[in-house]
Amino acid sequence: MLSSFYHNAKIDKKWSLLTILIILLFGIPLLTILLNLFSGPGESWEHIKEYLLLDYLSNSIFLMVSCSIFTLILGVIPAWIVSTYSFPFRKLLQWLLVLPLAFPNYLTAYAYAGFFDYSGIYEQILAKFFEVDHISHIDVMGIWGLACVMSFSLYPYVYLSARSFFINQSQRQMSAAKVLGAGRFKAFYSIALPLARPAVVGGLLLVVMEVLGDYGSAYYYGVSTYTTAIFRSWFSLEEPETAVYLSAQLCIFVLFLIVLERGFRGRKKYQFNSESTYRMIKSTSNAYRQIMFILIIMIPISLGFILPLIQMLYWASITFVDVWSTPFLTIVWSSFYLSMITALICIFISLFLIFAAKWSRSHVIERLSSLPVMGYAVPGVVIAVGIMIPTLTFDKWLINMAKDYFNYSIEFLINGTLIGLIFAYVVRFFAVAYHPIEASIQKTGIRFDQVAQMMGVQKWKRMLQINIPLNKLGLISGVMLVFVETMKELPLTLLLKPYGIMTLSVKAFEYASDERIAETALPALFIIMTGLIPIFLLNRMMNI
Amino acid sequence: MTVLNIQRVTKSYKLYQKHVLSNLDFTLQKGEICAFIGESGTGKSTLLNLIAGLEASDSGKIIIGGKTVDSDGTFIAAEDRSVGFVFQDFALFPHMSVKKNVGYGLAKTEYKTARVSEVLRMVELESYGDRYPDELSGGEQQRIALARALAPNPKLLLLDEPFSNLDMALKSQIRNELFEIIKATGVSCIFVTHDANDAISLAHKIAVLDQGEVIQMGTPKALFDQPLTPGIARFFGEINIFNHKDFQHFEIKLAKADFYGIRPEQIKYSLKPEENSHSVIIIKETFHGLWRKYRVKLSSQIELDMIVDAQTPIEVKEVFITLPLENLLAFHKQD
Repeated sequence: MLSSFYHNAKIDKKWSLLTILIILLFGIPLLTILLNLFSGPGESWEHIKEYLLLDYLSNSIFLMVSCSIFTLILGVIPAWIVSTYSFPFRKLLQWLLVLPLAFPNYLTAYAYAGFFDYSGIYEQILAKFFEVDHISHIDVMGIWGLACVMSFSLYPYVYLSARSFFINQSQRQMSAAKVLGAGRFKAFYSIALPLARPAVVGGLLLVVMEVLGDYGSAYYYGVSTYTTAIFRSWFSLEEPETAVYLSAQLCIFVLFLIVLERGFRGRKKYQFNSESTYRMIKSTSNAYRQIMFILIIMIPISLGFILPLIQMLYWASITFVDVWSTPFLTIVWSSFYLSMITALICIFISLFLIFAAKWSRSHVIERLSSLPVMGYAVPGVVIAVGIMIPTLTFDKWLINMAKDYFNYSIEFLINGTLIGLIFAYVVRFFAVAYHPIEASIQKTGIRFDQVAQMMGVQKWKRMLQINIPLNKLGLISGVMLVFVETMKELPLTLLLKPYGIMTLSVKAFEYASDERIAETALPALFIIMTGLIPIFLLNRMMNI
Repeated sequence: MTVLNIQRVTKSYKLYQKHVLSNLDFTLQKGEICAFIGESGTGKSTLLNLIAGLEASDSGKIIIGGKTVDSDGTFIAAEDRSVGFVFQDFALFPHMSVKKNVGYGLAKTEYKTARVSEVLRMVELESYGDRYPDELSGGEQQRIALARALAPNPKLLLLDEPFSNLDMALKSQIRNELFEIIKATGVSCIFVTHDANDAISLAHKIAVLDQGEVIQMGTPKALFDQPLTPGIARFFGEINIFNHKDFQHFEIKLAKADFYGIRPEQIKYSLKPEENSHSVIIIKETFHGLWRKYRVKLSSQIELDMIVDAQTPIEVKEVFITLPLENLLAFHKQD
């Protein structure tokens, strides 16, 4: 096969090899983790297996299942209402429904912990305005509470995919159901919902991945999950082998979920031809219904955005003077430049892989070129562990080489440095940049590049003068989305950030861990504010 | 002088698991205009992509201007082939003015501006240089796309369904104008189309593609008068097809063939019996503006379509038809 590749004059070797090189680079963390599965765990594995594993497993599964059910309810019902009925403030509400995406789930978790804390806002309101003498305390700090708060922050994934499907679904199926005597409700659960299944399952898969990858919320709520176990093995037990072993198990489970979802979709065709797809006609409803719809939609918005935001603003108002300082601005700057560098690298590599694959003139390379998007499915902590191990080996080798051959002493080049951290971010968030760029290029078509090519124009010139200007919206979306995801990222940053570098997410985590939870508000509000920008962009792109 | 020489070129896509082009041979001389016609999916656009270098062939050889550009051991990229391409959707760069679009493929020399003006003058849109593609009509976009392709003086010009994006009224006007320009430049040209009128009126020769093979090639007149298969005959207009057994009824001595055909407008009719005429009953009449179509039935139950001038409608139920021998087409079953 290699020989036929080498001798095939029609395949451009330069672009093919560069593409393969980048794919291999992206594959390092995942391959490291999977290969380490065979080398076995450390000494404490037996202890974990006997006393803790069941807990990790049952808690993780419980969170997965409960969050799936909650986000399904919180996501699908509003999605159906806003895409089927017309009522006052519909456009505004469907935009507001997405806002919880701006909150990383650990910040929502902190906000709820504070809101229902002894003498928190909830108890203050009851005591002050309703003069309740005996307030029964609501304890959210457990696995049920965690499942709820995570669902409040994660339901937009289900909402967005379901709404996108409902907006574009064929009116013909619904009309057919109606003329056969089905009411709107029956048509919803017997036609629209089964047809929306792949879209909803796709959204749920994202929810499950976020739940499995979460560290900040579970740690703060005292719930042991697979991810917290990986941290514990690494930091408390100081046993990287066990951390890697657990990471490998988690990784295999996530890959299994992806395969299951694909298999579940099977060969059934859920999509419609574009010709038969047009927006459903919004029916006008009576006033009572309109109020009911608005109230239903306000539930997830309040739980996922308004309530945590009130808590954060309250905390910010009382801690602003203490937190706002020059060191804090340095943290803002570090988060900003780390996120921006990551975003720009992701954009560059996305563009490179998309076009290099085309220029390679090899179908195999073209198919392989999208492999790095897998990084997004792998929890941040797994990527961090998968990068730590090989880079440590590489750096040690490099140091020895420099010493032995050049008698020169050097520091670690990748491990524990910004290079290692940014590399991990890029592996994790590459897909976030790749998808909007790929979609934009698909929409624009490669005709323009081909026209320029036929005129004898070189690749770099075509890239600068044709492909980048024509796909600038996709590129900007990609930059924005990666920027925000990087700002929000916690577990990977916690593991890989170099000494002396602090980010907003890690600072918020540290405040929460030190029981200075009110101080999390200012870094949190910075993260949320940056998170709102791409949400606004996303809504514009979805033509609301 | 041969500008393009295609030798036994084959191309297949794994997805379809069949050859899109199969052992295709073809040559094009300097200044010649050739139309490739055929149904959708017969490999017309793939052929253009292979010639342009946007795709690579599986086997065979493509030679442009005496230089091998695609063979087992060679592949010259599209940017180095000196081939102009006008895409079906024109693909004008939306963020560039007309002038920049046209001059895009030209090297930065002192002649660039002059050349841009020259080709814009050629397509009669010299004053449109500062406009943007979305400020142009469909026909104007078409001409700018042609100007852009011609500007670098390509050895060969390729046009993919050049008129399919234009409405009928615009199409007939643009079609001849465009090809007058192409002929004036003397560039060799290949265009693919599924419209027989385009091919007949514009090309020096026509190649009919079917399942990746050229099944007939010749001048427009040769293809119209002597189509090799009923399918090709149908491509150029309506035709009545009947088999040998049906034909015995007419008592005309013909070389034995598997099928015979005659175009509806070539059937002659009279109100009274004539030599070699046959009585038919009119079973259906449809009005088409300039002409009327009659569906007639012979005593042997064979049904034929017949076209007559709309000014002279037939007002009786029974007429007598004759099939002129010189207009009869004979077809043999293809392997």
